[in-house]
Amino acid sequence: MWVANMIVCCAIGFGCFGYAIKLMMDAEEKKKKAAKAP
Amino acid sequence: MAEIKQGGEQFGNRWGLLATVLGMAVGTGNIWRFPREVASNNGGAFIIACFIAIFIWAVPLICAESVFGKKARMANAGAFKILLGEKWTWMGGFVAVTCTMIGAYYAVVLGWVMKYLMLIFSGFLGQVAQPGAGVELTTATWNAFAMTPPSWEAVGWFLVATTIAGVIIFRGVQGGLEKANKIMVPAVFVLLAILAVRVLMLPKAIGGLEYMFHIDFADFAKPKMWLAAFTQAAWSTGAGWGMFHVFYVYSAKNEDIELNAFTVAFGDTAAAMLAAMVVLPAVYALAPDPVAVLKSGANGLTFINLTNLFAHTTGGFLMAVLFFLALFSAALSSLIGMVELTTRNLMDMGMSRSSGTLISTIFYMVVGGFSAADNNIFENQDFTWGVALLMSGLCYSVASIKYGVEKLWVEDIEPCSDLKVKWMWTAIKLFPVLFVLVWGWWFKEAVSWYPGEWFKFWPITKYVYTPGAMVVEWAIVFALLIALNQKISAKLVHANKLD
Repeated sequence: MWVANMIVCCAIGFGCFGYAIKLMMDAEEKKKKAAKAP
Repeated sequence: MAEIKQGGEQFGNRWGLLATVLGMAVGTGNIWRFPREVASNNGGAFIIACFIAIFIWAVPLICAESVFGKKARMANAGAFKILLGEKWTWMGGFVAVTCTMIGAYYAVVLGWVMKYLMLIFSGFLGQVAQPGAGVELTTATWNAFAMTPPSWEAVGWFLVATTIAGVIIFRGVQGGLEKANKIMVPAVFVLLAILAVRVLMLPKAIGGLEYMFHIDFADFAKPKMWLAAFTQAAWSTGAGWGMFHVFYVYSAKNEDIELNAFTVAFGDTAAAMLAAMVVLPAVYALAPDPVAVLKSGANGLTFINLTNLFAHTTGGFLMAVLFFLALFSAALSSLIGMVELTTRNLMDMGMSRSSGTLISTIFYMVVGGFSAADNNIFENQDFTWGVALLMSGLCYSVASIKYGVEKLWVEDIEPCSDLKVKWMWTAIKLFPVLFVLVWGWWFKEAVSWYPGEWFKFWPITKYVYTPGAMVVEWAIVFALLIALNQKISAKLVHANKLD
């Protein structure tokens, strides 16, 4: 049981952080592309 | 690089702001408080309760703070005046005073960490490893250093810590805050990750992970666990402290609010989980009686027991250096946020950054000096202003409701956000209810802990944890702020204008 909970907790704790960073990087990339576009 | 308009300070880019707010959030609350709270609240259920608290308590509050700072371009007191009207200035003032009072004693902890880093480099672990020394030596050293008032050596380290924070803030937003955090924040994550890998290779370390993640569903019915989870969320993420507010004074005009809040809240959680995955397995691997060690309180765990455990393990010197360096970076990056908050509030009243920093640093030195000298005063301040954070959070919630939760979403949050999850913002409306439940339950319990004495407050070195001492200290601040409301309000006219 504790192993299952560890997987769930790590998925939420680290996963949400990773997902948020990915969203941020995508958004910054979009902004850069938009700024370069004529 | 984003533009920096004449007369205003601004972060260089989004990553600079993120590093700074993350640095502020990741502090001692993650590294020494979270592992202890996990241990004392029976592991797995507490972690899940923390996640719930992050979603419905921390993220909405961080959004509220951020939108106030970005909209008003003034720190706490000034923003409450601009957005709600002059008569509400005292409310923002209470947020600023609470965070400033916390900062004053928080610098004491940074001083302790610096002292222990110095001890480790000067061969202290070798002495602890000698036969007959061990935990008796670490206890005696800790008591002589910090627990025997007046602790002049602790005062000395506290003054050094405060000076370092003051110098960073004196250098400004890009030259000080942003530069320092871009180094310190990744350093904390890297140091903790290296430590976690090393610790988990120790025999019996897996017992710590099992303790941390085992789940007892009956725990969900315990109000005490929920109180601990919500307090941890406020403490650890910095939601309601007013610092996010101040950093957003320097944000770009189109800065994202909700995604940044979500990132910081879960970045902070990730750091806390990493820290717990270092501390709990280390204790299980190295201590003969892990439960007794985990119940020895934050200071006992860090400065007495972990120091002893590091001394008795192969590679312990390196582990101790990494652990205390991580704690140092985390504590310093949080402290500079607090000094910046005090300084920015003074700058809004017309002071230059140099004068504001100087006055803030001197104030921290004078007020925090009492906590450094006498641990009973430290404990009282930690208790009084730690609980006041719930009140600060309430101030932001009430202010958001008064200004218009929907209006703030439509005008300021939704248009600039790359994460548009409305309920994570509108949950701010739940805060007053949660506050009454959490604080009300705590107050009822606290009264029962001190039968016949709960209302007493003097001397505070005796009535350290009584509700009476806490309420009297808050009442003095409220009375002063309300009495001086008009005068303070009249001076708050210097926003960080970007145009």
